[in-house]
Amino acid sequence: MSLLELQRSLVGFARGSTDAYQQCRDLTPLEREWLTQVLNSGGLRISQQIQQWWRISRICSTAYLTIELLKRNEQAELILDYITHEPIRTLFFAAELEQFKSFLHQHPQVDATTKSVIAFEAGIKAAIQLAATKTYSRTEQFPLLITFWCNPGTLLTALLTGDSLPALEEEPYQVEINPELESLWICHRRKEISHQQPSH
Amino acid sequence: MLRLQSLPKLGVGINYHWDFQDLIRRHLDTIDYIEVSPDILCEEFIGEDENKKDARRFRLDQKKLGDVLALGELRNVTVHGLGLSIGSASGWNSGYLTLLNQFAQHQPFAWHSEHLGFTLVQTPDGMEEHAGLLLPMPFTQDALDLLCPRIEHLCARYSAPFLIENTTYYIPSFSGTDGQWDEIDFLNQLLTRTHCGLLLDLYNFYCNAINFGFDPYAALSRLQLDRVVEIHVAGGVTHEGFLLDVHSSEVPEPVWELLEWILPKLPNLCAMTYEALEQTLPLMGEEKIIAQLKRCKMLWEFYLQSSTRARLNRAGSSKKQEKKYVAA
Repeated sequence: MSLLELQRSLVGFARGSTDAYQQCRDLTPLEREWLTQVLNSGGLRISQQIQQWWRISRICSTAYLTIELLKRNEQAELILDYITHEPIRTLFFAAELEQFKSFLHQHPQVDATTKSVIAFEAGIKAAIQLAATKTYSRTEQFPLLITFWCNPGTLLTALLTGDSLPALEEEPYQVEINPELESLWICHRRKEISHQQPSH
Repeated sequence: MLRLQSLPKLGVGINYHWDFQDLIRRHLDTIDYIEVSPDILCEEFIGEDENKKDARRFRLDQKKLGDVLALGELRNVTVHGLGLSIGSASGWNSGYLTLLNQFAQHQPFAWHSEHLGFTLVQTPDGMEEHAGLLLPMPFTQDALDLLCPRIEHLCARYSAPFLIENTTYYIPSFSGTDGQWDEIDFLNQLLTRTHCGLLLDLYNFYCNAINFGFDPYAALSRLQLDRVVEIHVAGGVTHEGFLLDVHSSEVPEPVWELLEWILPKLPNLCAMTYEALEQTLPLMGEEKIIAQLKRCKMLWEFYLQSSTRARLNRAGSSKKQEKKYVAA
């Protein structure tokens, strides 16, 4: 077993998969014995839990409002689904948030409001970061426009305070996120934007 | 080339987090240096390179960097990396080195260090997968052959020396088909074959001793202690029978005892860091964190006095020898 195969096996184990281990060729009896020992060890369970704790803490601290909305929608299992099945690509907050956003945007059970909220949180995070690097240029993703089918201010406040969520409306609101804005974001009135259909 | 005797004796420090800024400024009499992980000053962006493979790049947050630079005016700085993945067989994270270059342009540091382990692996289809936590290296010749040239590169990369840090592991270790090396043997091999110093994390080592049932005193007695430049101490929690390296609490008494025992055996020690998660500030409170640092400081001063006495004794006996030769 090469060092690369060993490392692929361990990363797979840490993520709950034995695929890489099963693809190892020419395992010596000693190597097979050790890998089996690792698979059955309490230490592996601890390693799996540690990476899950870190990942949950990254999402909970950056996608606080989205997590709250998923819970209100009784979709908290999507968080576990993401943690368990989506490959880990980063230990950084913003990159994890982007990955979580992509996951939710592609998920068929996620509604338009949740997609808007996660896009809002990821957009604000990116805007803060971009403003802090002082390398902002108009060629990047900003200004970012996000459509909400309920009042975004009321919605975000409700998620923070535990109040009831606002009802969906006929006409959309549009939130602009822009690192050049002092407040980073602004909500345009419904009458200022043309009628659009929900994104799904 | 690592010239241990010429490294500055920094004293006692704490890992830097922006939440600790006020604490550090209020206790400059206790805190001699800050240990900075450049990784926490930036965010990572994952795109694709020309081969459609993951390309990682980092953006330094100028505000966070500015805060470190301001503290760097008041206290010495060391670098403790998190994201290099020095042991990845499919290649380390070169984005981290670019980040370190950027940091080095702004802030001088006494030395830089990295954890012995790996986080990244390339899958057969060329994608990069992350373990989500630092995984241990096997204690094998293959691993040694991979690590030594990388460590030598890091030793030569900056004018500041490079230290490798021993880490906590929770899965059973692997010594290859020969089965000859344990963690200490492997660290000694690394130190013999490279010019790096050792960042001895006593808490990590203590965790391994508790979790895998070996005697830390006997094990540490076999380590090349003259290569230890920095010591880390920390505290954690026990979960499902494992002592975890989470830096979330006060240093356990057995680790303090281990520290007192080992200090006189470290001729080239330059620094002692108390590591704490930023969450410990609201959990433990500033007073308890400072108490940990003060205890480190007391031991550090004792260490300095003892090593000065030892040097004087050595100088005294060589003068006596000189006189003997002259008389003869």
